Amino acid sequence: MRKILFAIAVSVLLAGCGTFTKVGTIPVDPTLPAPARAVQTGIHESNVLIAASAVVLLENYNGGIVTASDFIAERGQLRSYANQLDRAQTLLDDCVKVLRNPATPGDPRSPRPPPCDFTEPQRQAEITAGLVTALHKKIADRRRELK
Amino acid sequence: MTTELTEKLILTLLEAGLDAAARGVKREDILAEVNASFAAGKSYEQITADVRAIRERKLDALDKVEVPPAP
Repeated sequence: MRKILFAIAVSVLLAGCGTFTKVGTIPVDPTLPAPARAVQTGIHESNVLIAASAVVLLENYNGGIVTASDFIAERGQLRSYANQLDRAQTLLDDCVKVLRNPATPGDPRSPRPPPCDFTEPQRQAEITAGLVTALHKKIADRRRELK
Repeated sequence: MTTELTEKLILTLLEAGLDAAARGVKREDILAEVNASFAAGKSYEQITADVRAIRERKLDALDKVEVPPAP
């Protein structure tokens, strides 16, 4: 009996984690190079998590299980992370523009822009994704702790 | 491993799994909203803009909450 319960627990855990960490559901331009697709997928995922966190935070506040000061602090954090994501998106868009519209060599009116290898947008997106995931977990966990 | 420890481990695993699933539900809700927005053959740029717009709507709803000043 204990073995069956253990198996059920493990499968529920794996199913839960699978739902939580599933990526790539939002389509990304397949003509982009692989690093750019990865960054765009990361930005989409973080945007979805911020939106989900906002919904849970609002429910927590309306349900009286988050203090006003925590609500204000976490609302501010979500907004700040959203702004960071927008910066990562701008960097990515700039890189893609450079990639798709290379300047004509030798044309002085159109100097060649510096090459872009997606490192900076990737770094920005990864840092923000880590912060967003941690905050999302904190917001969701509070509901369970206070039950 | 004692019976007590085994039961504790089972309960912890169940709780963690259900908790992760609960967090996933909210995420899935948002994804459904995102997916609905690009059902009509939009460009990838528009999809990106739509995802951002949905995020902004949720954040705007938070911004509209008036928090009473602390006593």
